[in-house]
Amino acid sequence: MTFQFDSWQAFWDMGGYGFYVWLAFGVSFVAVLLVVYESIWAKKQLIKAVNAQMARKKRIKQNKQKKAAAIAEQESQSNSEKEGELS
Amino acid sequence: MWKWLHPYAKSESTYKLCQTLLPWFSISAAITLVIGLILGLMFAPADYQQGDSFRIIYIHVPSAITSMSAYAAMAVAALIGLVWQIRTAYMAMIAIAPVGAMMTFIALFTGAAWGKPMWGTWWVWDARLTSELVLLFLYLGVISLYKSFDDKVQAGKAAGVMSLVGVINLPIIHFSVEWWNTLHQGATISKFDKPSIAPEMFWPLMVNLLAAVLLIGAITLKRLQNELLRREIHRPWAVKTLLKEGKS
Repeated sequence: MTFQFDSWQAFWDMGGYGFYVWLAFGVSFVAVLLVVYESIWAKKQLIKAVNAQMARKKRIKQNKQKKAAAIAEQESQSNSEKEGELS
Repeated sequence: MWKWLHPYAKSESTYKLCQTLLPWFSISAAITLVIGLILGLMFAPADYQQGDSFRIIYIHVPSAITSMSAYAAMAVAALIGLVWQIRTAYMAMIAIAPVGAMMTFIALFTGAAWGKPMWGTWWVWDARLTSELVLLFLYLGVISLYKSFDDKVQAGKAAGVMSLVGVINLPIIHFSVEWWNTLHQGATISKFDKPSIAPEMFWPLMVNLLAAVLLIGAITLKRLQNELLRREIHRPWAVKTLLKEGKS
């Protein structure tokens, strides 16, 4: 096994076929990179989605508690009003 | 006998298996890819007829072979999904499809870039090239069919049937250079007798073939994990996994 080219210049030139060889390798590299990137990006989107999902659940829970508290307050107010009428 | 396999029909255990396998696949893919490319580009001797343009073989042949193997793997996953009604199998099918499409595209593109200096044309409508192009369309068809259904069980079935029907294209691609007169050369490696290629050119090619297989494996594992999480994003295990990975 020996290095097949006399110089780096000759290596990039590829015996005159440099354009075709590097075009083929370059485009293939980009294609692989794009698919790998998309796969990693998709995971990040999923993490975002689950965070949004959790935030929504939290908001719903908080609103329910608020509503419950408001109803309880109203009831206690109306009760005290009734008590006032009775006395 | 096959009982040990059954837990892997469960999404969570499949996800964990992928998690364990992924680093091994990624690291060995990276290592073999670097070694294979260095050997192929720098140390393999130039072809006596084609000069250095033949070095395109080191991506063209591995991607062409694996584009077909990936299709076979996808079809097997589809068959398992259709016969045993296993959802995870459909997810594996749809995880492989884009990776196979990528390999098919690479095979076609490098073939064109090799054909221009050697044949004098980027593209001809001959049997080998056309059937490989059909393979790309089959992959894209499976992907878009799966995407077009909101109900992913229906989607898996439809795309599964399509990928099974498409299997007919694999022998057509393989034997196209024998059945028809084409510009494309005949088989060099996948012959039953000795390969008609010098060992100094042959071994770098095998390293690159291994690299392509490992690369497909790594990306497919990652995509399968994504698909499992996407489909079960309301299940506790998926929520827990994603929250944990979001923090780190």
